[in-house]
Amino acid sequence: MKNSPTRHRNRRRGPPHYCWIASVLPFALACLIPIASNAYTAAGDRNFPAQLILPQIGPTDALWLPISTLPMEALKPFDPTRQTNFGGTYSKLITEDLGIELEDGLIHRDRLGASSVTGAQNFRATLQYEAMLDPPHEFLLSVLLEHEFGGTGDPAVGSEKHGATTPGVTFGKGLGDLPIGYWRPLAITGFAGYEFGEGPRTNTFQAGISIQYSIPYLVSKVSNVNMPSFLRGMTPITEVFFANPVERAPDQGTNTTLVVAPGVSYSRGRGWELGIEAMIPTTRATGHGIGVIAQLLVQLDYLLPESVIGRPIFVPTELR
Amino acid sequence: MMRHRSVGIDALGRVRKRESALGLGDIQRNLVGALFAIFGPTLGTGTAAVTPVGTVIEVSGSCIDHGRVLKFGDVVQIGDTLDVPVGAKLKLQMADGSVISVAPDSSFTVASYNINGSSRRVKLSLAQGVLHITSATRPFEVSSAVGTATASSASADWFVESKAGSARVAVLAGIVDLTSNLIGQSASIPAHWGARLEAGRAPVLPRVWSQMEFNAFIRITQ
Repeated sequence: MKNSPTRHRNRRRGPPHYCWIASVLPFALACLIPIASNAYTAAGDRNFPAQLILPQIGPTDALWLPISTLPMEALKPFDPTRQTNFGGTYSKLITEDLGIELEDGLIHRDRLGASSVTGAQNFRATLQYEAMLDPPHEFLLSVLLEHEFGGTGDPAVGSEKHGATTPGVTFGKGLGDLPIGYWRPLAITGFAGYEFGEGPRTNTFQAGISIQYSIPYLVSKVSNVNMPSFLRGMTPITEVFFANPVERAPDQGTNTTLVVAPGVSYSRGRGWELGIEAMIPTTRATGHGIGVIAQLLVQLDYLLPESVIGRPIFVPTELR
Repeated sequence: MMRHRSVGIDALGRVRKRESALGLGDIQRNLVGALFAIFGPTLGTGTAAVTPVGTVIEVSGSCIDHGRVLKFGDVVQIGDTLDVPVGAKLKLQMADGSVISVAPDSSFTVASYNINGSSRRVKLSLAQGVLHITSATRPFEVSSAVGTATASSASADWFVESKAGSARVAVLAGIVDLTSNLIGQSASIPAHWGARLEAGRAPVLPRVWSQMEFNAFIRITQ
């Protein structure tokens, strides 16, 4: 997509408040998408693989390291032409059902007509509680409360001065309990949240869904299909993330962002998981070309199961 | 300190009860030492078919070993098949220090038991039911119709369940591998995790087990 001087001029016509929203929102969402993070959890015999874009569907003891790059549409000098994120999230269980996530990372921006710049993103913390778990039906539901601490990142890379708080809900549902034969490895996960911005920061409705087909589930629960060994750990997955500002200028067109991310996750149940997805923006506000996100998940509860790092802080007394 | 009822073995090898102020670990160590003193020289020396490998330290109900109703202090040998009916329970102290608690409605066979030398291997065959094993020998194997669970750490505290067409393993401490008999694929299960295996398929990816799930196994094997 080429830069559009006409569109650029139109942006300038709106009230200052809306102009601010219009200019900041896409970058804020670009920051959000790659680090909003992932999931590794299970309901019954259903292991939901780590997601790369949607928030996790349940609390866990894990560390994940995503890297993403996304072309951006630069409208004027100093606008970013590409943004690359290096993130890190540490997730810790407080009890079996309640966990906290701490996220931070670096953002690198290539800019139009200017040198590139690197800086920190805003620090985020998320409390998540697994409210429902139904193993026979491979279903779980969690509620979460995320807070982005404004001003903790570098404004030069788009980190907001003002924070935001997002209550939300996540769920995962495997279809293994249904009599649908080779479709039983299918699973759906979802997320919905409402971001309350502080100060002038706009409020945003966010939602997402993923569809995944688990080959590990296929060979362990449906049929031992003969296939190469490396395929037995694959889970093709497509994530869709949607965000829509509640306020927007009437002549700005849509600032809705919608990214579709098809990809694959690989796990052999050995304490780590690798995922890679393309990030396909479907609106101008989302991005300017196809990006890529890759992520390594380290399951601390698998690798260090008997240490405080790999177990809930408050361990049930019945377990030794 | 609480006093425990423990098992002693006199010079003639007869088991007797005694009261002790020792902890459970001390009791087990003493028992293992006594068993080794008596039976150690015969373990793994070609007399496997008649080698006593374990002692009954708890029993309730009519647990059967080759038609004989087991009672406290009875000895178990290689090749014995132990049936624990519904409503009964059984706990064995093995010669290597391992402890096996058998849930009601379980049946298993001591297939092999060699705890000396380089070819150390303990192998049980679980036809059905649930075993709670605190294993002190590596490898400690429990085979079922669909797969084999093997404690691969020097010591482990784990459960294995065998049902028609499936098996489950849950681990409280140590590492246990669950391998499909048919296709050979295995899952390595660490502490606080569990996994299921269904007939003719690969093991389900291991996952963290909840307190409730462990409690269900603990209750039936206590």
